[in-house]
Amino acid sequence: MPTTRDVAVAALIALPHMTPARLHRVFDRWQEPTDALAALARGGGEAILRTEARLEDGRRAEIVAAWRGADLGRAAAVLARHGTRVTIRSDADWPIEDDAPDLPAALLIEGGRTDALDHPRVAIVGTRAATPAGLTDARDLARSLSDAGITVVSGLAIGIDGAAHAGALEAGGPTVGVVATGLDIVYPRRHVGLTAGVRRDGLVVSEHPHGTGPRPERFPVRNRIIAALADVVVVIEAATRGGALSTAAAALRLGRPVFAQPGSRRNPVAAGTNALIADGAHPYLDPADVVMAVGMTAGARRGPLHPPAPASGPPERLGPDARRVLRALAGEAATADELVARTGLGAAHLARAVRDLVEAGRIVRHRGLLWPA
Amino acid sequence: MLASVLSATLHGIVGQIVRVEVHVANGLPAYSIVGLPDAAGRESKDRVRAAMVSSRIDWPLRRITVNLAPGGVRKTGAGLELAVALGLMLAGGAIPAGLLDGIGVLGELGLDGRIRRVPGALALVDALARDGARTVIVPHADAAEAALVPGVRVRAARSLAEVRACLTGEDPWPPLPDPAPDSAPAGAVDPEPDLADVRGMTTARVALRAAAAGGHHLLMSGPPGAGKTMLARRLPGIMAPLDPDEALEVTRIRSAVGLGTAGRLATARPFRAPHHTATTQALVGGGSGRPRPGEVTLASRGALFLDELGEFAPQALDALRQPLEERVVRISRQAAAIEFPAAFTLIACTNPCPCGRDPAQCTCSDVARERYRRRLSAPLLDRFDLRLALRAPGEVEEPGESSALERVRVVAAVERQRARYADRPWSRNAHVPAGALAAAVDLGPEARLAWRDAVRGASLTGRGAAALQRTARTLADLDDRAEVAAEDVLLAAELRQEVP
Repeated sequence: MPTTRDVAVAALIALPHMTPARLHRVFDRWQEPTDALAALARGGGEAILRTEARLEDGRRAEIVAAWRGADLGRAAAVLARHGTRVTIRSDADWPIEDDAPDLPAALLIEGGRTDALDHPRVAIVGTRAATPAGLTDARDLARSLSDAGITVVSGLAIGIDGAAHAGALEAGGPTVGVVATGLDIVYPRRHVGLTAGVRRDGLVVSEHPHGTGPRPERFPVRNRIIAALADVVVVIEAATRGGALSTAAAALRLGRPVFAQPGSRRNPVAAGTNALIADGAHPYLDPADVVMAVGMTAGARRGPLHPPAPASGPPERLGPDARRVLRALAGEAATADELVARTGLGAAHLARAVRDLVEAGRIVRHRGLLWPA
Repeated sequence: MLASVLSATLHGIVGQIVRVEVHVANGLPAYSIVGLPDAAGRESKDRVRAAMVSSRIDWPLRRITVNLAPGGVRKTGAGLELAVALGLMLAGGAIPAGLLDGIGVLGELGLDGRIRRVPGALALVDALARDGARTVIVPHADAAEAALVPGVRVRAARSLAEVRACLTGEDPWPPLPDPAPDSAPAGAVDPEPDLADVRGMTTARVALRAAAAGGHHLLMSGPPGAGKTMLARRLPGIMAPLDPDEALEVTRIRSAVGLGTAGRLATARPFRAPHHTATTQALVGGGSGRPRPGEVTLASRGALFLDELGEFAPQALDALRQPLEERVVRISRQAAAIEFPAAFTLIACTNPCPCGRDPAQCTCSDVARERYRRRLSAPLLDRFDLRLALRAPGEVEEPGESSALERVRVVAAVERQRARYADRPWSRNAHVPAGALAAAVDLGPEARLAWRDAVRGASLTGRGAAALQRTARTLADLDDRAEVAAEDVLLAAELRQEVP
């Protein structure tokens, strides 16, 4: 059963027009959530909103009135039904060490691995329109970091995020997914299975009350939590605009080391990461670099780090044709026609080599092209 | 007095025998025509009368009834007018009875007695010959075409007066016109683009060759400038020549829609490229009144090229599915169902995404790409044995082999198939029904393994799994091998990717 205190926090979060900044002011004034709720029920909202000079009087009165009627019964039912844990900034296990008014003052947490946040944490983020190679990179890095005893944090989005979670799960986790919806809503729907995996071998975290749906403006806002939870942020692939760069920007504001994976200037989803490197981010070349960087942050206190195993296993046994094709691919996407022209193999021999490489997981078909993976 | 003249009307693209019965009886002068004529048939009264008067032939001033038998079939066009006029002349005694026994008559009349051409002369004469006519009288302009039908004597008619004179033996029949000169062969595309202009694109060439040889439908996906249209336009140049039966069918279709045959059998395979604004009706045929064949029928025994496949109306693309599968179009009407041949090879192009950039540079969101892709239904995509992603060529290569050389390979592969399917109703690998695949495609043990892997790896539908076997069979035929090798199966799988 949820404690009265947890229920009070959940009810506070679920209040209409409650924002992180306002919740910070509520906790500034009343340390205990139960006290805060009682005060708001008596019209205490007035004191919280007084500092907002731009708020019209009528509007302020409306909000104060709305805050009088917190729905404790509903909050208690939701917590009980979902087994939700609650943590606020004054708790001993509050996972964010920074003190900034735009960071959340309370978080809702669900999932099987309650220890997930007690390890060093690295965020792996990137574009939704990832290349097959980028997905493999994210997966490999997440696996290496998990082996090293690090919790992988990401946003449960399509593309790099999903690959990062999947890689961490493959290595046994734990991994933390920070979502921009209520914890009872899975978005994107395609990630129903992945979300279930993260819940089983990790945690899902949200600052929003249950029932909050996906809204475009909530995703970049969510990214600041990913940055705040992470000791180090790694951007695998990103275009020059998009959510991954907002995570990187938040990480820089909070003073977190940022790694970015360099790529070809012809690759549109390497443009963002290349720009980050130009702006001073560390180039991500090897998982060991990331582990070493974590060791130099405050996060290292949270747990022991093991040096990661070499990124790739022993080289598979590939035939000479397959090796030629891989060389001809030269790290970029190509059509079968282009590979025929570059390798001089006949169409049938190329088809066999490609089939073998696809089976070995070294090549992926994507958008009608063959991509290195 | 009663007279009966043998003629024919067009039903779809086949001729339907019509007996024109004319009854002339005493009574007030009147004219009635019965037996489901269309508007043109009803108007014929005035034309027939004017033509007879202009030709100084007496119009019987009595009660005239014209019956077009069989009564239940709708007669279309004005091609029965010459038969009506001759029937009137027989019944009215202007020419001796019995003169038209065993003679089929076709032709539309002008007011001055001139005889105009009729659409579909080839099909009509064919039907008359099958019905037992030993001689046909046809418009002079259609005579060369009519002469393509074996076993029937063709008489060229220029005017009603001349026909009467020739029938009664006063004048000899005029000589048959020669077919038009060879400079404009029927159905040819000129100037013929050549595959020698295509550099590199080895697998695309293989796909084109397989489409030409095995009759496989080919879909090419790629950004603008990737060479999709260039390749498609070169397909007719490497297709095997028509065999006699096919030539007759193609000529008959061209004749029936009035495309002109120049009085010779078609030699080139048709290549039709309708614009993407084409209606369902224009594409598969139909229409009110006389159902007309659509582009799929005009492309029968040849290729139908649909550029920008996704831009076609969804209903039009849906309507393509049945002819793609059965190689005939069935159009049901209140009166009767009509079947048009539609044994075409479909070659289609599409952009992979809305932005039209190279796939590696594309920044379209998954949702946008998915929405674009959904314009092409999965069942339609599944019907392509060959699906290829193309990319703008970057590397400069040697000029490719010429169309003439490619055509030699295709012809040899077609011959192999013809010999294999000699006693079957199909002649191309793409048309082998699923049930007959095992007998037609001799997969070696290694090839069978490769096929199983490919089917499982790409989780193919039953249709997709069969497509791999058919394409592999064609690839082996192109290589002049009796047994299908694992390489053929692997290449067939490579040539059937998930696109766009």
